[in-house]
Amino acid sequence: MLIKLLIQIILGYVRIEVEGYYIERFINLCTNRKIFTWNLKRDSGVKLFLNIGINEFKKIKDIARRTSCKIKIKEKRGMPFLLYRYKKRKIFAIFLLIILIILFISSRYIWNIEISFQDNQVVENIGTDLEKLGLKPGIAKNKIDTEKIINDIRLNRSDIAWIRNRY
Amino acid sequence: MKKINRLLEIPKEVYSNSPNIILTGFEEMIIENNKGILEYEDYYVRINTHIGIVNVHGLNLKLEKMTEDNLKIIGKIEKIELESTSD
Repeated sequence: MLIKLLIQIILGYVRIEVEGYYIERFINLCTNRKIFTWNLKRDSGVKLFLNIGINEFKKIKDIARRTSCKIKIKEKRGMPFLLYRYKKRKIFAIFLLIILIILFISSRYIWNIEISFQDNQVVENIGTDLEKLGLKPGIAKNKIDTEKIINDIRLNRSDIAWIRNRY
Repeated sequence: MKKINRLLEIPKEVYSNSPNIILTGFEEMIIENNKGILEYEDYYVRINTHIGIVNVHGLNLKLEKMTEDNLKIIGKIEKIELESTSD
């Protein structure tokens, strides 16, 4: 049921007001034709509020004509109406997309290398060793040969016992 | 046929038309296997089922999630009446 509601929110739905004397018949016809409605609320008098998906709104118009009810749209909700409201702000959307693409591309490169030591135990020229093996700012992440770096450093240097690579 | 169903322990509301009424607290009620609504007011709902009529009295009654044979009423339920029509 929750998934059904979620689909309706994505496809868009309207809250409508039905006014007429045969509201029970109206509801029964809706259920018989398998039209999904939710949050029905009877107002005092001859009014009924209900939510319905926009793709089924045309069917409900036919039912309203049969039961001589009047239909008014109260609220429009969901994705299509939201998109329609922001239709004029195309540049905003384009820039949002561009920023996302730039963020995605730039996150694939290494920007900075920071070496920090614990308890003043300085490991000498580890930075230059890494740079020799290709780990320097500006390189793409998928071009780093991690196996090679680990093997070479452990072979060449005697003061490093263990090395690990992690993104 | 009934014996087979009883043997396989199929729930009664599945193989017969009798309605299944579930009350959760005093503010939520689900009726399965209903046939439609006869009357609907803010304070009173009358639901037709295959074996009778269910009257629900209460305050601020809302019908939430209407499908073909499933009905959910929320609101302050005060009284439930059952009228059987088939004998």
